[in-house]
Order: sequence, then structure tokens, then C-alpha cells
Amino acid sequence: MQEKLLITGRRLFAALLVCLAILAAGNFVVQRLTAHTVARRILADTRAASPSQIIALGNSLMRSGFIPDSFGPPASPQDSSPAFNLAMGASTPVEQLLLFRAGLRSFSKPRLLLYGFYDFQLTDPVAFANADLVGNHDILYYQEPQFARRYFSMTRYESAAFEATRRFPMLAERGAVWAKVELLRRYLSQQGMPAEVRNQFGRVGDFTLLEARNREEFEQHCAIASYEKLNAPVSEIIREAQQQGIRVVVIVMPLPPKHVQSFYDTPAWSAYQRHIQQLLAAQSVSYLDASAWIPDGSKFGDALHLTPEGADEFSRRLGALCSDLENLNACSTTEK
Amino acid sequence: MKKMKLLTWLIQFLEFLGGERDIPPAGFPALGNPLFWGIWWGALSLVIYVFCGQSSKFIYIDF
Repeated sequence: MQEKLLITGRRLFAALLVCLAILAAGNFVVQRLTAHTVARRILADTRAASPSQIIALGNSLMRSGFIPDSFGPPASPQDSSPAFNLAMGASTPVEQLLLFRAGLRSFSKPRLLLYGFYDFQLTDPVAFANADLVGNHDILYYQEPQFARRYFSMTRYESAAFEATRRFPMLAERGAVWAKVELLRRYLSQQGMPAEVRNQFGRVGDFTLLEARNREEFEQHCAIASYEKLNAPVSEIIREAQQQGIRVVVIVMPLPPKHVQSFYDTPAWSAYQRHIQQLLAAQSVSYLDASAWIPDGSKFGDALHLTPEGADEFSRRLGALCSDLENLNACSTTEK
Repeated sequence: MKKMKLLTWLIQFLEFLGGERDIPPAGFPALGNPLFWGIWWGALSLVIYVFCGQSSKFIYIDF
């Protein structure tokens, strides 16, 4: 019996080949199944929106908060809105830079960039471990990866892992597969339990994790960030926009009254905002503070995002200030 | 009785695959067949791949 168990080198090699063939098939299947992920859909939509003149860019706050048709209705029913929402949820300024560059290649005559942010998105440096690049971050693996690599820091070891990972769809798109398993796990864990509060982005409770734990922590962050420069990807977005003759307006996105009262109604945030305004003014970039535009907490679906009703209100108000490309004087907040 | 034997055989089969026992039960299929082992390790790799993300922190997975 023992003899029968012996595996010769030839058999081991053959078994390895079969195993690799199965993994290659898995790689192919994952590549096909992830052809329409969020980032790929936005890139595809960008290619079909060449007449757009106004670009909205940012993370999920802009993605959920900006409705192009409310901001600037189309001139006629056959036309599309002059504005295009290029923002992507769960993105850092690096992914936003990649989307913006894709937009610049597609849009024929863009004239205005509305860049939405909250908290410290403009100044915090972007750093990743390879394991962080799941979900919408996976765009970093396939959309100008070598260019993008200049705008976020990684250790040498992580960088080697990044280079290896981006060559295999099964690894690069692992987050899409894991997300399906996670959804199944959540579904099973919900059996017999009280229903979780959810909105268009997922579990409402999850988004509180994105806020500072308390005011002290937030104020300390403000104090440090008040000495920082704009981070590299944000500076590059501004540079590339201005190189194309596009006017840039940086917008503090509307946030729920609780977030505004807890974090923004503080001297530390005011000081940080003055610092940001000075940095932006030095680059001829306009600044618009819309953080308190929606004082009704019921128009937010969670700790950060507007509901569709709130998004419509924000977009209309923003459109009233910023949709007339011949007169954008109102599309900024004067320095405090 | 037949069912019990089958259950015992199945337990021994899984224990052998899992490395718990050195000797497979009688009638173990294709012991020397590299195709079987290739498929077995390939399938295991895929299962590990699919489920190894569970400890990751997911928040934005619905859009």
C-alpha cells in the first residue's frame, strides 16, 4: 500500500499542471465576471459623455450628492445635461485623478471641474498596503497603474506585491469575488435577526466608521493638517485641469448637522479651512463651502451621504451658482 | 448497515484527504492519478481564494 502512495516527480508535475490549468480557468472566469465593476462602468460612461462641459469629481459624497439633471437640465429633451458625475464611491484622490484623466481624454470641451471633498481629503497623504486595494480601489491595478503609483506610497515589499497582483485579474479583482461572499455571509447572519438599516451604499452603521471618533481626535487632526500642503494627487488634478483651461472649484460637501456641529463648528476646523483657502487661492482655485447647505438631518441616509431628495436640493442650489459658465463669480465662498 | 459502512468510508476518505490518516480507505479512487490530485488541489485553491477575504473590512460593497 505504501508503494502505491508514492508520487513520482512526473506525477507531481502533471498534477501541478492540472492545478494551474484550473487556476487559469478561474482567472479567466473572474476576468469575465468583473468586466462591469463600478470603476469600469464609470470609465465606460465617461467615453460616452464627450459633450459634457462640467465635471463633478470626488468620492461617494459627490457620487450620491450630485445629480447632473438637477444641476443643469438639458437644453432640450434630446440632449443630455452639460454636467457629468465622474465621482466614485470609496475612492481616494488617486483614483479620482485616474478618472479625471480618463474624462479629459473623452470630453471634447470641458470648462469647469467641481471637486467635492470632506474632512482631510485634500491634505492627507495617500498610502496603501496591497491588501487595501479591494473594491473600487482596484482601478489602481488596471487604469494607468504605473502613473498612479507615483501618487500613493507603499513599502518596497507591498510595491512588489502590487506589481505581481495587477497582472492577474483573479488577484486584482479579488474584492469583487469577496464582496459576493460577504453579501452571502451577511444574508445568512441576518436570518432570524432584526433587519439592519440599509441605504443605496450598504449598511448605514458602517459609515460612522469613516468619521473621527470624537471632537478631540478631529481637532488634533486639524492642527496637524493645517501645516500640510495639498496632497500630490489633488495638486495633479488641479494642474491638469488648469493646463486644459478648466476652471476648478473645490467644494466642501454637505454633511449631516451632527457632523457639522461635532466637527466643523470648531475653531480648529475654521483654522484648517483658512489654510485650505489660502492654498487654493494661491493656485487660482475657487473654494465653496456647502457643508451646512442641508440643515435637515432627514435628508441624509447615513452619517455622510445625502438621500436622493437631499441630493436634488444640493444639486439645484449648486446649479444656481455654478451652471452659468459665462459667470462663475457666485460659485465660490469668500475667505472667512 | 450499508449506510453506516458508507458513512465510515466517507469519514475515512475525508480524513485521508485532509491529511488526518496516511492510508486511504479501500476503494479510494484514482490514487495514482495526477488528474485527480490536480483537480483536488485546484479546487481547494479556488475555495481558499473565494473565502479568504472574510476577515477583510468591507463597508463599500454594495455599489
